[in-house]
Amino acid sequence: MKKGFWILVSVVLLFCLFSLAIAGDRAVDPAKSWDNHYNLYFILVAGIWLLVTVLLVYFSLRYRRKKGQGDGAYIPGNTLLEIIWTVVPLIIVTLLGVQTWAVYKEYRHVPKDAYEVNVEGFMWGWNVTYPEGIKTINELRVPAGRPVKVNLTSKDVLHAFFIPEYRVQEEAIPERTTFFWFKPSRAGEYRAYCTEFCGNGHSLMLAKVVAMEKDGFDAWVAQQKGAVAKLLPVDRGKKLVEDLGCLGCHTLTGEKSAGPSLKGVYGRETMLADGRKVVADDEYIEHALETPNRDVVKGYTPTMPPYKLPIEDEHAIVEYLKTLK
Amino acid sequence: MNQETVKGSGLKGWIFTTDHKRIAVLYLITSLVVFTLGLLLALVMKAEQWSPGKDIIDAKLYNVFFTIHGAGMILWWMIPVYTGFFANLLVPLMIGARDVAFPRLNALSFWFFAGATVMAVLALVTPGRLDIGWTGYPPYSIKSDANTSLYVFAVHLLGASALASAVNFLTTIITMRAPGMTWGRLNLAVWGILGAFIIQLFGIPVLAGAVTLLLFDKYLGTNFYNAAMGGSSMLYQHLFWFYAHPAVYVIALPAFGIVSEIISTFSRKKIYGYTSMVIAIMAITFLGFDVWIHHLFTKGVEDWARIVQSLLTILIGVPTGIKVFNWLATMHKGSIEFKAPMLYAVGFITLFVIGGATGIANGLLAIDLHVHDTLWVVAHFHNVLSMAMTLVAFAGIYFWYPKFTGRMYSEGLAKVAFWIILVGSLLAFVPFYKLGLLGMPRRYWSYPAEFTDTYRLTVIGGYILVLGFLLTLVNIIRSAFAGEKAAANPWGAKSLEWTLPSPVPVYNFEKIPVITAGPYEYGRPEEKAVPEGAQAV
Amino acid sequence: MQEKAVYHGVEHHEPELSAWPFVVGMSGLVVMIGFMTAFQWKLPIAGMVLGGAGVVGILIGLFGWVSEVYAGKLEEGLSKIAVLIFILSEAALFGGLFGGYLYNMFPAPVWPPSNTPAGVPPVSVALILSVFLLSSSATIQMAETKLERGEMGGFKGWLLFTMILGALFLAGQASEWSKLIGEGFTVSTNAYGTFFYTITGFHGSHVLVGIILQFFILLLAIRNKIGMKRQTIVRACGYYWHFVDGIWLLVLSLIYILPS
Ligand code: HEA
Ligand code: HEA
Ligand code: HEC
Ligand code: CUA
Ligand SMILES: [Cu+2]
Repeated sequence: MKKGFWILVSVVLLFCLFSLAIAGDRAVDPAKSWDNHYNLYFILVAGIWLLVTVLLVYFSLRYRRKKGQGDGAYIPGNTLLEIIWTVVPLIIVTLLGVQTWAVYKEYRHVPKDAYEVNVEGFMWGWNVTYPEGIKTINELRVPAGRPVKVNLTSKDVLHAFFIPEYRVQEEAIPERTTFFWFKPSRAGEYRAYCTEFCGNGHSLMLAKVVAMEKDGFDAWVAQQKGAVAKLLPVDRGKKLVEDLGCLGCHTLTGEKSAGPSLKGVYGRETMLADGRKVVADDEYIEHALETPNRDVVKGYTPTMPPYKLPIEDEHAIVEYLKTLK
Repeated sequence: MNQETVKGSGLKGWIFTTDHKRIAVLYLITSLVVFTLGLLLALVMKAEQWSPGKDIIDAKLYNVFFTIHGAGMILWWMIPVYTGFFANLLVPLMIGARDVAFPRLNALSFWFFAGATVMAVLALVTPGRLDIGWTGYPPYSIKSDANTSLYVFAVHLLGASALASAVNFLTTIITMRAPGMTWGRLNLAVWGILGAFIIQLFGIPVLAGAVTLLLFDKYLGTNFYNAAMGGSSMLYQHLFWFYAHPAVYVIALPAFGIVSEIISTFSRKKIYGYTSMVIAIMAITFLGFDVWIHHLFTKGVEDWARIVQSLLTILIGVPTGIKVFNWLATMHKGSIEFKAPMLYAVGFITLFVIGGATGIANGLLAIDLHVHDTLWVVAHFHNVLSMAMTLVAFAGIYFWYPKFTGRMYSEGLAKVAFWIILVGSLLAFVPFYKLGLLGMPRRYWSYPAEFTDTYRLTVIGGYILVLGFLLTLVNIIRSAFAGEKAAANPWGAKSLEWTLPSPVPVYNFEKIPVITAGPYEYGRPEEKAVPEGAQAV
Repeated sequence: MQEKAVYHGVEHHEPELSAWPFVVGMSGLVVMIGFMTAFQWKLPIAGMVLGGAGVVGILIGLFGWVSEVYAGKLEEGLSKIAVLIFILSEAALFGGLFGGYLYNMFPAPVWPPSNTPAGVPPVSVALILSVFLLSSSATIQMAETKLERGEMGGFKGWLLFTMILGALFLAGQASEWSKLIGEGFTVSTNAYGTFFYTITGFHGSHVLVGIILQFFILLLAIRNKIGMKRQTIVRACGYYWHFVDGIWLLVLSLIYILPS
């Protein structure tokens, strides 16, 4: 009889906790649920820490040994107390566990009307492809108010695409596609990071996430579709050098890094590892991009990855490098 | 250290020794050397973090430094100090044995470890420097020009060392307990070490396998981790964390045991809830093998696996909580004396609960989607490792200092160092929690300019910490030669090792003792009393 | 649990000095550096010299070690418990390899992947090999029984027989490997090839270690160092051998039978 009563009480209690955990703002937006989840977590563990620390300090002061005092009291344990401090944490973790489960389900349940973009990581940048066939590098533009699904993959090594604003990240894995989704509720510009260690350019592998009002976004799509950015070659080259992650290994200041500085590279006489001397002209630089390990500059290890770029892009880069005197 | 009790003097007596106490000291010295090296690397990284972009080193070198710092701190400092130094020093003394089961094998374990240490140094000075993170994930570790083979072979040597130790110590604990040393009378430190070696036994072979496959892929053209040929790069991460997660409990379990010894001794009170302490240790040992996916919550793993392992992960908070509350209850109505080890142990508890609580955040699947691979995680593990577990290591070194050197450390210096360390480490790592929540990823050589001020706080904290460490190091080294001579039992402790003289004679026990009571019988009421000087009859 | 008595009863045990652990440990380091020289620095000759020197060092060290132990009056040799514990960790190693294999197999649409040559895996060969290995479990058991009864002649005979069966198994596997490689099925063919050679290779190396151990025991038996009173090492070897056989059953079913 007594046992049954306790079981009933626990079930009711657990049910209440359960509801508490998954209740809250049901507006489907994982980032919001994340904040609620984190707040509950924080209150609980901050309480636990305070309890432990207050007791610790109190006992340290209260039971400090006095002159001539002998041993402490002989108390091997107390079953009831020990059960309490097993069961209470158990309930707390169950509560948090259930809530995390519910929030996670939201994270994985992609709304049907989601706008779907493909993102591919490479050393060191992000290729973004939109359903309209537009491509951007290191920039993800999305319409505000509409859920966005990101399909991720990688060209070379592991990367991970992380947008703190939307409280979400997922690994970009070669030969596989992973996904996440988020809801850009407001227009704005946010940052995305690469969070999987991927070498020298890892900390420069940032991208911009631009959430635009619907009209603005549609206009942008139309404009992109119409005219493939008619930038001057020099500007385009500058943008490419920044976007492709060259600056992970090359400086623009004349200092050595993993690779030689790009300052004044054009027209420079370069000593190669095999003893030849060459002058860096258009052709040499284009080769340096396509097959960088053929002509290795003396004093450097051949780590530069080959870049397969459209010929216009190569020209644009050369034009830009010419300006770096 | 006093010569008359040690057979074989001079260098030879150390290099060819099979005495567990000497081997313990060899472990301690070696891991302290790597610890110091790791600290130096950390300081350079910290200096680099002073402002965004390049301050003193470039990205490549930064990557090399955190790789060697991380691997060194975990694989050369924390694990060996607990399973090498403390296990060697304490197990035979606490179970009443004259040595471990296989003294020569024990020496071999150390020399493999020493070999691995040579490799660690080679990693710094030879070309092809390791920039693969202590985790060494492929495909990057295969594609990078880093000398991945060095990492693999160092892990092999460490693994051989750890396996030999595991077999040795498990056999010792099972078969060589003195008469009357029942399982219920074992010190909690020995229980913790037992749990740690169970993990080593099952985990190390898997880690060794994982890195061997990495070697094959990189140098022999196999396809284990090559997705293009039907392999999978994620396989490595599963195998790696199958060991590397439980590995953190290889560190934590002996540390928990040591804290139990210290708290009981200085509160002069029987450890509270001995049985539940033992159950908690074993629960953590075995649960530890079922949670590795919490390192892979954002890596394309199946949803059900993520959910199950998330729940199991946070479940570990329960047995750990049992330990924390039992420590508190042990202090309750005690007669507490704040010698340095006790001060450290109390500091440990409050710092560890912060670190454990943020571990729970990582373990909560949804929360981890945001905090994974950010500085939040870096703060979590420095909180548990660099603060909590390192603190315990030093607490234990001070506590048993008389037993392996025959001298006392300097109490004043140790206490000053404690407060410096406390302030320094909070300053160095707590701001990382904030940066992590703001989205700042880890392993970043450069960072967005708006984080500069917060970063600078941590840099200052890091340099304060080092001051504390220098004091500690001075204390340990100086006291070994100039410390006061120690009495056999300076703390009035009741555990078996304190019945022996300080330092312990080579043969440990003149006669194998017969044990009649547990190690924590403080303040036992008259009618149940055991004779003073504890159990050895 | 007789090993428990190792130091009990000895009044003053002085830990001995022994040079051999140092020699073996440092030779291990030399082997590793040798491998590294060959793999990373592309100096195969220097690597081989270093590696060879290291292996020689390890062998010398082990030999010195064993002589030292058997010369002393204490048996610091193997204990059954230690061997059982060691076998557990070996089980974890194979567990990791099989786990990895299944991890790659389950999501795969076809297994083995389509570029695997026909006739791979060769199940019939594997079945013949199984006969050798499984019967050797029985023969080693016979050897142990003989030893218990003190029939040293029978013991040596059965032990030799076990070794021959083991050697036949290895020879069979070697010829299978060379045939498959000849047909163009190598470690680099695909993930199945990679796992095939690695798992059978790891297993084969364990068989080899078992045979070496048995050879060693045979030598000791011939020199009368083993008898009814000193049989721990034989028991240990027996456990190990049964374990290696058990693993073979897993290899057979997962690597050979399951994919075909
Ligand atoms: C000794 C070292 C140590 C210890 C003890 C722990 C303890 C724990 N760790 Fe930590 N961890 C690391 C070292 C350690 N960790 C390292 C090195 C990494 C990073 C590796 C890398 O990527 O490089 C890491 C990373 C890491 C991750 C991966 C994060 C990520 O990459 O995204 C996770 C995720 O779950 C995690 C969880 C936990 C948990 C749940 C515990 C638990 O054991 C904590 C339990 C303790 C408590 C909870 C506090 C006391 C309990 C109470 C007072 C009771 C009441 C409490 C509750 C009811 C909540 N850790
Ligand atoms: C035991 C483990 C341990 C320890 C002790 C430390 C100590 C320190 N760590 Fe470490 N660190 C790791 C484990 C550890 N670290 C790991 C695993 C990584 C990840 C590597 C990777 O990503 O691959 C990492 C990475 C890492 C990074 C790279 C972050 C990134 O970009 O991703 C940084 C950067 O600042 C850093 C800083 C520091 C600093 C400043 C210290 C020290 O300066 C702190 C100073 C500490 C002391 C001075 C000791 C304190 C205690 C005592 C001396 C005991 C004595 C006690 C008293 C006297 C009370 N660490
Ligand atoms: C992994 C690092 C890395 C990245 C990324 C990288 N490079 Fe390099 N680069 C190097 C190294 C190392 C060298 C010198 C060795 C060589 O020539 O291969 C080099 C050489 C060069 C040279 C020849 C320099 C000279 O002094 O002759 C040019 C030009 C160059 N890179 C341009 C680029 C451009 C443009 C990009 C981006 C599209 C880029 N690199 C990306 C590492 C890199
Ligand atoms: Cu890409 Cu880090
Ligand atoms: Cu973990």
